[in-house]
Amino acid sequence: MTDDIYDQLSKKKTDKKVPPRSEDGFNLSQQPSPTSDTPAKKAAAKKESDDLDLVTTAKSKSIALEVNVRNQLDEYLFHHKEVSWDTFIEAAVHHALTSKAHHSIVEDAASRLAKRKLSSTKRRIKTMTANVYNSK
Amino acid sequence: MLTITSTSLSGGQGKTTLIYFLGKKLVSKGHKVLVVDLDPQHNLSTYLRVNVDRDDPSCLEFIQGNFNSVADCIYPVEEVKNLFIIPSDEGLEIANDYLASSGFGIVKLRNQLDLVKNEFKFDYCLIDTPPQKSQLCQTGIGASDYVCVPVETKSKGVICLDRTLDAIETLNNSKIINTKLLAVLPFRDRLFGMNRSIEGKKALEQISSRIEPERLLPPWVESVQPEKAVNRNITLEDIDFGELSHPFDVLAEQLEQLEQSEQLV
Repeated sequence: MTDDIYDQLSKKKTDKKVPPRSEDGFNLSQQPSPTSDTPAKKAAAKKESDDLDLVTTAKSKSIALEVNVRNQLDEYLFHHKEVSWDTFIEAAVHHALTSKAHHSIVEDAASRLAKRKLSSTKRRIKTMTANVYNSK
Repeated sequence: MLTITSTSLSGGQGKTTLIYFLGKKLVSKGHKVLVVDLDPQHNLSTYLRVNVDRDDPSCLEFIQGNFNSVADCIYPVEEVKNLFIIPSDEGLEIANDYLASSGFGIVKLRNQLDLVKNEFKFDYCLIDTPPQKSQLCQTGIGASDYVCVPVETKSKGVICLDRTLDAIETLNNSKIINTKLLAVLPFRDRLFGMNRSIEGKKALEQISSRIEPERLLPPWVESVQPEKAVNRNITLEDIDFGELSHPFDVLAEQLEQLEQSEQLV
């Protein structure tokens, strides 16, 4: 073993590069680039968003909604860029609950929930049946 | 290769500063020294001007074993002959998860340093740990033959010393590791003329009562000079304040004696 560590290092070092580390310690290959939040990039993203008529929202679809309702919402939001998804929902709920029709809302909601429960039960039965077939 | 870890469970106690000045002191005495920056805050790497790019092998890859050759993770410190570093950056934070899930985190660094021992003839390995009882801190203690604990001469420092000594004892009780307390360095000892501050005096009494007398290093007097030296990546001797490095002279001598006795064994 030679004593000159500099010599040893220059002989043994390889050109190996590693997956880039991010500031919070997560692998960048699985994460957005840390430079994506720079003011210049944010401005570019906003411009692109304006050009495409996209509506950015604070909370993206955190509530599960029926597909038809979601399509209706998207249609409204496409034409009203002055609102966001969550503020629109808030206002809609507020108006609905303060209107005279709120009794029918409860009835409609109850019927939707009943249907949802029924469909999820069916889906579960089908999945279980499929598993049983697979295991055989 | 003797491995010494600087540890303390609170921030600002002087862990990194201890490693910085001890490393340079040992190098000035002709020894070959490897320092390991186990703190994701990477102050030691910054002080020694070794900044790795995000895709360069660093301490994280060293711990994970993600290298072709162990030499990939070792970098010479420019303008300081025989001082080398395994540097870190913020990305080291994820090593805590890696060590926790590995199941043998406490000895992981020790095993990796054995690879260094087999290939390179370093005299000393100095490890700087982060200021929490994290997996990184534990693996740093687990890798060491001896630990040094810097303690600020304040009530906070005394409380922290108790916690740190308890943590070391707990780790030793696991029987997986057997590290020994080498020294306690009273840090930022405040003097007014020739008189020590009342708080400092009380803190020193408390520190002395907790350890064997030979484990207590001479207090390191509070001064702006060490910070000036660190900022310029030079030593206290370089700025004609060599007398301030007395505690490190004592510590370096202790280490040389230990190394000699180890060689005799």
